[in-house]
Amino acid sequence: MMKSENQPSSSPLILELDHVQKDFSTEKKEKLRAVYDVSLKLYAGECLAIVGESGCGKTTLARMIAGIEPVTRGSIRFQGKDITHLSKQERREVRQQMQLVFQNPASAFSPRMKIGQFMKEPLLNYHLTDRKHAHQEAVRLLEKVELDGSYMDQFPHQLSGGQLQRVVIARALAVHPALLICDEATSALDVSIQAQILRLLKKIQEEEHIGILFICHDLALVQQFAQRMAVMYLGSIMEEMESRLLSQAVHPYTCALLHSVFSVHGSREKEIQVLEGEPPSPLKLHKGCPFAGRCPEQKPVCAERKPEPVSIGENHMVRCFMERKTILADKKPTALPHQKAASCNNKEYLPL
Amino acid sequence: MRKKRNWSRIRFFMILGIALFLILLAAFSSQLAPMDPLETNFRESLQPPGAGHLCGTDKLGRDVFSRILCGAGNSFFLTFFMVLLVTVIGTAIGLAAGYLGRAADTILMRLIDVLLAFPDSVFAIAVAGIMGAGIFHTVLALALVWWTKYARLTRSMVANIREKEYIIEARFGGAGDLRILGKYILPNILPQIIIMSALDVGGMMMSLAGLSFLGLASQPPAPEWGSMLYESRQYMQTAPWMMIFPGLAILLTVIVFNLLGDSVRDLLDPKGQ
Repeated sequence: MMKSENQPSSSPLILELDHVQKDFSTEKKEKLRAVYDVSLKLYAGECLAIVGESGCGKTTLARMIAGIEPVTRGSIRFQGKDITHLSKQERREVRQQMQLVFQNPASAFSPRMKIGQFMKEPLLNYHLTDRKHAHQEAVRLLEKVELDGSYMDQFPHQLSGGQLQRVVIARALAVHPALLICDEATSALDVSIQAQILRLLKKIQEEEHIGILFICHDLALVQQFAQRMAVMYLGSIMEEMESRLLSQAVHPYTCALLHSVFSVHGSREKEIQVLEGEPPSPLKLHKGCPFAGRCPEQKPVCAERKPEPVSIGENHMVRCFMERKTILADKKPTALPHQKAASCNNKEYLPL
Repeated sequence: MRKKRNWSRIRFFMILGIALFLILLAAFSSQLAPMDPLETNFRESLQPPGAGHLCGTDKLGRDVFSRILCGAGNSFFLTFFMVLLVTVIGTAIGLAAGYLGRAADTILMRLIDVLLAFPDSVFAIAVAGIMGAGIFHTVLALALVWWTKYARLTRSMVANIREKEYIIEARFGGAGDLRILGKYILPNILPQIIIMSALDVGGMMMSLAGLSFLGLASQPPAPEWGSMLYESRQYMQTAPWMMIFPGLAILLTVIVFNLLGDSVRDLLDPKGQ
């Protein structure tokens, strides 16, 4: 783990989201609230994970940060500069500092562009090297992600998913970005390849001091990889904490997620706990807490208004009406299943 | 995999060879033709195919074989010119409509809908009726209708590709609009465009022959396959060779260019490697 883990504030702040909101309007002119009141901070060299089930607005959030989707309300600051609304030229300059890795590596490649050309693109477009040295530089970048130069002449369909994802990462590194947004970057890959990609990301994060925004739905994986995590539900951040303290999570939704994590060390007899019900439609949001309908600890106030974020410890924010002292008193560790097994250490589970 | 690729390559070069042979025949037709295609000889009118005249003679005693050869020049070059013209115009407009989207897209697509309401032959007849018969007017009328096909195809492919993740990646790789169009979109749609062009060579030839048949494209006595068919229809029963040989020439050419289109598609598919 990184040194910055305990004191992220010692590194410069690179990304700051301030009450960001995103509304889509559907064809029937209904309002779909995809992201609501999200405030986050990301420091250089740190990995912040956004966790949540599908459809909770993680990807929309990433797309807003990347400038692909316009922001409805709130502001996004990147390296001290407001990037909420930018002209085409300004956006292009910001993109050089911010790179994206998508879920499905196969769709990140133009099928008719060889790997070599794909790698050279940013080097030439941003005038980082001249045409003569571009090839050399591209090979060097590929070697950084443990691929050799022979891949330069291949077409994307000749490579495997893991190899392609490494090429994408290599290209993202070409421009020396300050921020890498990984949108489910490992979800489409086999477990063994996932570990490989995570190990690679970890390595480059440490070497290049890049901030990583890691969007994921796998709680166990995030806990291994990210320094901090934000749990998202129906467009809102429910709980934000250091991931090594995941076992001290207090929000009922986070706890429910923890209980639903599978493990190779789990017992067959153990009952699989499932959260009752489906998340409500983001089209018909009621005025209360978004989790109210499914929350096992629901109170009358939960249906009345939205809870405000409450700080309950260092780097620990929770958006819930539970009284502060009950939260602290009830702070009984809720561990991931594999942590309960004495024989299991983290290294075995996920070799990072 | 490897073998299949080699076979499609061999097939492509075979068909390309045949197509080039046809084009060369058309280019050097005046040197190759055994007789003058315009020379009339009433003593030898309506002769069946034989030693003197490979494909027989027509009602004016002109050598049908020579007329087919020389007609190839007219038919081919006009066809190629037309296909190239509509491909370039249609692709450019389709790229603009698909990439820009919004208003440009709506306006261009509605314009195409209007133009598509006319079948090309009817449109050409109307243009000829208004502006008078002549090769230029026919070309104009056909081009006005045919480019829409390319614009539609290109536009739908571009609109599809524009939303792909690799275009977003390209932007993050610093590529501007022109570079995205040229390096990311065009290479991915070009094969389909080329295939459609190759397939359209046959269709365009038929269209031009049809218009010549109606007397709207080339004018007598210039040899042209469509007009030869037109002239032969009164003699269908007494001198069928006048119709059969130009018809075979059209058939052969259309087949060769259709096959060429197919093999280009096989060859350009990167997954075949």
